[in-house]
Amino acid sequence: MTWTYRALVVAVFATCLHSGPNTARADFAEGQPWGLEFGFGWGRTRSSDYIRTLEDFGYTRDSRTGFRAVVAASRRVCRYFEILFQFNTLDDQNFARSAGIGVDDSFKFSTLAFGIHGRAWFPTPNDRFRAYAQLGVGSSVAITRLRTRLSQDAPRTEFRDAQWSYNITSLLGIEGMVSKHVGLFLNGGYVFAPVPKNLFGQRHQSGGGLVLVGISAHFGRTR
Amino acid sequence: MRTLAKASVRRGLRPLLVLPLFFGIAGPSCEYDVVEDPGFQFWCGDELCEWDTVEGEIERVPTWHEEDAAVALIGSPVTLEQRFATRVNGCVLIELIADVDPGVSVTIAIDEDGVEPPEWDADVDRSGFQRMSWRVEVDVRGEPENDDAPDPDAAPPGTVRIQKTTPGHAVITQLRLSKRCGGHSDP
Repeated sequence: MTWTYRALVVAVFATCLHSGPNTARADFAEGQPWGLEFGFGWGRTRSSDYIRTLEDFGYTRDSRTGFRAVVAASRRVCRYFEILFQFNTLDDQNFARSAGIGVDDSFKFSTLAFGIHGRAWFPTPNDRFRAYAQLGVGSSVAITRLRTRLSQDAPRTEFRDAQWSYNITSLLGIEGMVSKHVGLFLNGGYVFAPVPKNLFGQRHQSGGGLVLVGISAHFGRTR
Repeated sequence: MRTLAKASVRRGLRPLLVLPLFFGIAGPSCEYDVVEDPGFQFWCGDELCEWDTVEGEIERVPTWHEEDAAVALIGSPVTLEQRFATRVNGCVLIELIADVDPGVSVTIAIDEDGVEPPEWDADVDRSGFQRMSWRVEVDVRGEPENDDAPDPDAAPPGTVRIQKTTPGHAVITQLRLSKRCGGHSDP
């Protein structure tokens, strides 16, 4: 966590205090202290001891989705730096196991991440394209759902659980402004979110690499 | 012209040629279990509902999830047994997932007729919830010795048995016996 904090401090210094007075524009993002972003994309996670244990216990993967979504709200704190509250969907997998007689047992987990991010903008000759680096820390939660039968005649019982952990997110992106206040963005990076966890202490890394595209809006009035 | 007509008929019939292959290879198939509660999930108090504890002590223990149960065989000797839920004749796939410490003697056995020794048995020597599997020819049809017709309502005579004969850690999380039917043939 220490390196994340240091990187964040460096980013703030680099952008707020030493952001290249030669290239900095006095009207960069003028009148745009607030922002909203919506995006979607694709992500990929690796297998893990957690998944292998499920397979050892007779589960086979029914489906997994690489779909990722992001929602973020931002507030510019100085000319080239903004703070975001960001929400990401992460890994989502479904498993099934033959229960012998009747409907199969099933297990599903869906992981979400949210946190505070710092985004450093790189000065560009004009405002049409903007590049940025982003780093964030926060919480991640895996919603797990096990459906199994506890007696021969009863229907399956569902056991839901929410498991919490942290996440560290790093992204690089570019934003192309289609108007003064609206842009389209493309970013990609890596999320580390070690959740869910089983009773053996094995964790699945629900983050992994991701690529997102979306729309952003910048608005507000500076004083 | 005639050749052309023949060729087009042949082309038209071509899809039909694959139908027998489709029904023969990928045709309807099914898989059924010949014992109940293969995952040791059904507990009636301190005992398994579908398995008989013939001797010894057992305990419900969680595995990777609090609600995914397994059966721990406590002390020794311990014997768990279940009669076959259905008549079966042919190749049965036996899949076991167990965590048995090295040096602890656990065996599983299939007794087709209730007369010792069992027709098939195997040692369980897997720690860390490893999977073991076997394909075994099983004949549990309940055919009487004389010429009388078998009673269709009578329970099949076969049993599957888990036996632990030395003390130590032994947890069984799945013992599944399944038989394929329909389009698939036994391997």
